[in-house]
Amino acid sequence: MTTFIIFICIALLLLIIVQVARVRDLAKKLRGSEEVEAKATKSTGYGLLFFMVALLVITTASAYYYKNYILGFGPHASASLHGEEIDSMMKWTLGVTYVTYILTHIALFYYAYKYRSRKGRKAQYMSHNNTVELVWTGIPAIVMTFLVVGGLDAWNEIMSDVGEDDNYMEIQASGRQFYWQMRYPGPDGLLGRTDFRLISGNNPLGQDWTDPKNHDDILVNDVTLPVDQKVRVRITAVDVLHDFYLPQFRVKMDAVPGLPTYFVFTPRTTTKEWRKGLSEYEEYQGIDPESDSGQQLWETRNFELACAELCGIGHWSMARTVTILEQDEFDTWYAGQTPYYEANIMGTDADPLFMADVKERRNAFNEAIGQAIATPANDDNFISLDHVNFEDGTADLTGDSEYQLNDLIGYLEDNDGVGVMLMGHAGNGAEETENVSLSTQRAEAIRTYLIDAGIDANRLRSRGYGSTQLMTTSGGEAAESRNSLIEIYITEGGVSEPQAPDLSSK
Amino acid sequence: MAPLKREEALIEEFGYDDHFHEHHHGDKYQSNFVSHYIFSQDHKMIAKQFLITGMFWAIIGAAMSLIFRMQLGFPEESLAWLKPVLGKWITVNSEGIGTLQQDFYYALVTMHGTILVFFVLTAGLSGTFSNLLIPLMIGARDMASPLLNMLSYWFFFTSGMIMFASLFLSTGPFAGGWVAYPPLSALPQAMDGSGAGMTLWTISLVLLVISLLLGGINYITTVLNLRTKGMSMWRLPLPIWAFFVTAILGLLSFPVLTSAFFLLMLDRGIGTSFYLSDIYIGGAALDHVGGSPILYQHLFWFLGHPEVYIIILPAFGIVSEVLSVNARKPIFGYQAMVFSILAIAFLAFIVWAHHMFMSGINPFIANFFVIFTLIIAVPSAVKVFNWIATLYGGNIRFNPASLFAIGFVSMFISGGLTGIWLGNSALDIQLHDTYFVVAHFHIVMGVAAFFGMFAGIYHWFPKMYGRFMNDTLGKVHFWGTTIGAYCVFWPMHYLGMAGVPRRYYSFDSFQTFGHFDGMNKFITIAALLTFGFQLLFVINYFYSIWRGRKMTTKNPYNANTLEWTTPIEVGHGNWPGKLPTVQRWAYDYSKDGIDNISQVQPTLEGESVEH
Repeated sequence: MTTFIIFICIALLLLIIVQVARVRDLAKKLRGSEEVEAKATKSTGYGLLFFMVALLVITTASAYYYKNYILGFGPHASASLHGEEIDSMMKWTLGVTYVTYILTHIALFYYAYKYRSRKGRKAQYMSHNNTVELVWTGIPAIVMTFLVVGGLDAWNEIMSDVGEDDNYMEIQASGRQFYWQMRYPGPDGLLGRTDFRLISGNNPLGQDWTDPKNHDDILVNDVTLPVDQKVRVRITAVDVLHDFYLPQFRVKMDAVPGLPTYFVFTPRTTTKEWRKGLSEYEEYQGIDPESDSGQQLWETRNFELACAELCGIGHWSMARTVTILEQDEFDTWYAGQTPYYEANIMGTDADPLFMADVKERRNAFNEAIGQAIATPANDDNFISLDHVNFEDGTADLTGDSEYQLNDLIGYLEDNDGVGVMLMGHAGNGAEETENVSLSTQRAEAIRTYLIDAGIDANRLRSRGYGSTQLMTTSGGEAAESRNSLIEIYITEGGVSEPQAPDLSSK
Repeated sequence: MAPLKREEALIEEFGYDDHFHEHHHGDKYQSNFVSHYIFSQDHKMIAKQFLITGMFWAIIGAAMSLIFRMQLGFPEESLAWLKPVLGKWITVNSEGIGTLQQDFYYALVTMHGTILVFFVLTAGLSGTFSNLLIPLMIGARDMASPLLNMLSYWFFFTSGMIMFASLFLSTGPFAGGWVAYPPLSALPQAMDGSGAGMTLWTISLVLLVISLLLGGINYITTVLNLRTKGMSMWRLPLPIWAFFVTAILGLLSFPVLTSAFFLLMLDRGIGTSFYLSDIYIGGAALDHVGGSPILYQHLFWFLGHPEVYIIILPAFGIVSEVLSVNARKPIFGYQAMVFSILAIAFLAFIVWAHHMFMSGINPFIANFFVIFTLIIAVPSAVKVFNWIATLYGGNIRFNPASLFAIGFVSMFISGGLTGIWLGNSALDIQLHDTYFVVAHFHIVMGVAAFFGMFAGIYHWFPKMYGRFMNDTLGKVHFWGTTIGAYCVFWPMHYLGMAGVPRRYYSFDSFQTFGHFDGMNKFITIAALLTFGFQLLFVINYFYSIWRGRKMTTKNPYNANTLEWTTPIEVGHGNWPGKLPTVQRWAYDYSKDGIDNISQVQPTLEGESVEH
C-alpha cells in the first residue's frame, strides 16, 4: 500500500512539474517572447557559470575529503616495492588531468556565459586558425609522450618475470568458485606438477603425487609472506576466470583456466607496520564492533586478497587475508606448516605411490599363496600377513590393514576349496594368559572381518597362540612390532590345523 | 524577400529535377496504417521507430540499474515491495525483509550493460539519427535501400523481443557480465544464467548485428551515392561525417563479434574447445583442452573498442552541429574535426587490447596498445578545443539542445581525462575492474552519448513531428540530468581509487572495501532522482508529439543545412519538387555580417569560400 501511495505521489509530482512548465511556456508567449527569452538567457548563462564554479569546487573539495581513502595517499601508500612507481605515476597523471579538467571547464562554461545571446550582438565569423590548432594538437601530443614513456617504463619493469639469478620465492594462487587456494613450495622451494584431470575433493589443485616435488608442498587458505622478499605468484584457475587482486600491493592479474599467469612483487610493509601507520589516522580509531576482545579498528585491519574478474554469483565473496611478516616470524610460521601430502594423502587410496606398493604386495602375496598350495609340504603352507596390524595392545585393526585382507578375500573368493586357519599372536602382555587372550581375539577379529566380507565361516578357523610361536628369537616388547601378528595356514579341501608347526626354525 | 521564400525560390531555380512526383494521397510506401507506421520504408518513420524502441529499452535498462543500486546503497532495506515485479528473485525472510538474490543481481548488472550498450546507444542512437538525418542533410529522397532499412529495424525489434523474453526464463537471463567472457558464459554449470539465458542472449545479439550491418551498409551507400548535386564530401555537415564513419566502423568490426559468438555457440553446443581448456567444474574435469579464453577476449574487444566510438561518434557529430547553429558560428576547424573523427576511427581498430592488460596477454604486447591508446587523446583533445573555440565569440542561444551540447563537452572532458589513467597500463594494474572504470566509461560513453542524443532529439524534434518540445521541461531535464549524472558517477572515481572492485553484490566480505556506505547511499539516491528527470523527458516527448507548440516556419533555428528547406510536414521524398542543389558548406554563420547563409544559396562573386 505504501508503495502504491509513493508511486501516486511521484506521478502527481511529475504532473505538477509538467503543468508548471506548460504554464511557463504559455506565459512566455503572452508576455512577448523576446523579453522573456533575454531574461531566460541571462539566468541560464549565470546558471552555467555557477554550475562550473560549484562543480570545480565540489569535485576538488571532495577529492581532498577522501584523500585518506585514495590509494597512494595517506595510510594507503603502496605496501609493495613496485607499487611506489604506480603511485607516483598516478599522482603525475592526476596532476596533468586535473589541470586540464579545471582549465577546459573554465573555458567551456565561461565562454558559454560570456558569449550568451544578447540583443544586437553579432557572432564572429571564425572558421579555423591553423596556428592555434597546431598548438593545441602539439601540446597534448607532447604531454602524452611523457605519460606514455613514464608509464611504459614502469610497466615493463613491473611486469618482467624473475631472472635466473634472482632470489625469489614462488607460490601458487588458484582461484575457483568461490575461494582462493594458496600453495607454498615447502622446503625444496619447488612447486610440484599439477594436472586438472587429477583434481578431486581431496586434491584441490590436481597435484600429481608421483612428483616428489609435491610431497612437501603446503596448501593454505590465506596468504602469508615475508617482508622484502621477492615473490612470484603463479596464478591459476580451476573453473572460470578469476583475478588475483591485492589492492594494497598494486597487484592484479587474471587467473585463466589452461593458461597459468604470474605476478612478481616484493612486499615492503609488514602487517604490523601497516597497522601502526593506520593508528595515526582518525578513521581507524574506536573499537572494532567485530572484535571480541575490544580491539581498536587499526589493530584488526588486514591486507586482503580479492577477486577482480566476474566469476559467478559468489564473485564478491572471495576474500582472503594477507599477512606480511618479518623474515624470522615467517620462517617460524613456515616451519610449522604440515605438507598437504603428509597430512592427507600419504598412505591412502589417493596416494599413487602407496597404491603401487599395495599392488606389488598383492602380487607377492598371490604368488606366495600359489606356491603354498602347490607344495603340500607342511611348512610352506604358513604365510605371514605382514601388512595386517592392530592398534597397540588391542584387537582393533589399523586402517591400512584392509589392503592385505582384501587380497586374501580376493583369493578366497576365486578359490572355493581353500580353507584357512587364522593364527593370532601377541607378545607384550605381562602374563601369558593375557597374550593368549589377546591373540585369540585378534585371530577372531580377522575371522569376523572375512565372514563379513562374504567368506563362508566353515572355511575359516581361528586360534590364539599367545607369545609361544612369535616369530622372533629376541622376544619381549619389541617383538610385536617387528613380526607379523597374524599368520595363516592354508590348505586345499577344507580348513585344518597345522601339525606341530616349528616356527622358530624359520 | 523573406529568407524562407528565398530558399524555396533558390531550389526552384537551381534545384535538380529528378522527376519526383509527390503522392499526396499515399503511395506504396505509406498508403495505409500498416505500411505507414509499422512496416514503413520511409527513413523518417524508421528513425522514429528506432528512437521510441530505444527509449523503451533505455527505461528498462535504467530501471534495472536502480534495482541493483538499491541493493548496493541500501542492502539492509527491504526490497519486498518489488516482489510483485521480480517474483522469486526477491527472497522475503520471516521478518518480511526482502533481499535481491545474487543470481538476479548479476543478471540485472549484465542486462543493464547489454541493453544500454547495444539496444540504446548503438541501435537507438545511431539508428535514429543516421536514418533521420542522412537523407535530409545530403539532399536525398530516402535511403539507398528503403527495404533494407525497414529490415534493419525489424531485425532490431526481433532481437529485442528475444532479449526481453530471456528476462522471464526460470533460470534467469544471462548473468555473466555484458562482455560474456568464457568459460563463465560457456558453461551452464558455472552459473544458472549461462544456460538458456545465454543461448537467447547470443541469438539476440547476432540478430542485432544483422540489423546494424543492414543499416550500416545503407548509411554508407547513401552517403557515398545519393548526395545531391554540389554536396561534395567536404561540404557534408559534421553529423553526416560522423554517421558515415560510424557505419564503416560497425561494418568492419561487428562481423568479428559475430564470429566470436559463433565460436562460443560451438563451444557451448557441440563440444568444441575454442575458448575452453583445463577446466574442472561441478565435480568433473571437462574434456575440453587446448582452447584459450583470451582468444574470445581478443575477438570481443576487436569489436568492443570500436563499439565505444560507434556510440560516441554520432554524438560528436550532433553536438558539433547543435553548437554551431546555436552559437551562430561556423564549427571551428571543420577539417580538423573531420580528420580527428577519421583518426579516432582508425585508431579504434588498434587499441582493443587495452581492455586486456590484466587478462594474461604477454606484457610486451601491451606496449603497443598503450601507445596507440594514448595517441587517441590527441584527436579527442582537438575536438574539445574546437568545440570550446566554437563557443568563443559566439552569440549563443540557450535552449535544451545547446545546453545538452555544452553538457556533452563537459562530460566528454571529465570522462575522457580518466581514459588517460586507464589507457596507461601501469595505472591499469591498480584501476582495472574497479569502480574507476565504471566511472570512466559511464561518463564518457554513457552520459556523454546520452547528452548527444538529447541534444539531437531536442534540436530535430520539430523536424520529426512538426512541433517543439517544451522548453522549460527541457531545461529542467538538462539541469537535473547534468547535476544528477555528476553526483552518480563522480564519487565512483573515489571508490575506484580506493580499490573497490566492480560487479560486487556486497562489500561486506572485505575490510578494504567497506568504508563507503555513505557514498553508496548517496550514489543510489542520486541515481533515483536522475532517473526521475528522465521520466520528465519521456513525458515531454510524448506530450509534445500531440500537444507541443507548433512549428510555424520551416527553418526555426535559421540553420544552413538542407533538412530545414523541407516542408514543415515532410512527406515521402522529403522535397515536394526539385531536389536542392548545394552551393556551399554548411557553416556559413555570421559570415560577412549575415546571420546565416543556407547551403542552397549560391556564392557571390568575389566571396571567399570555405569549401
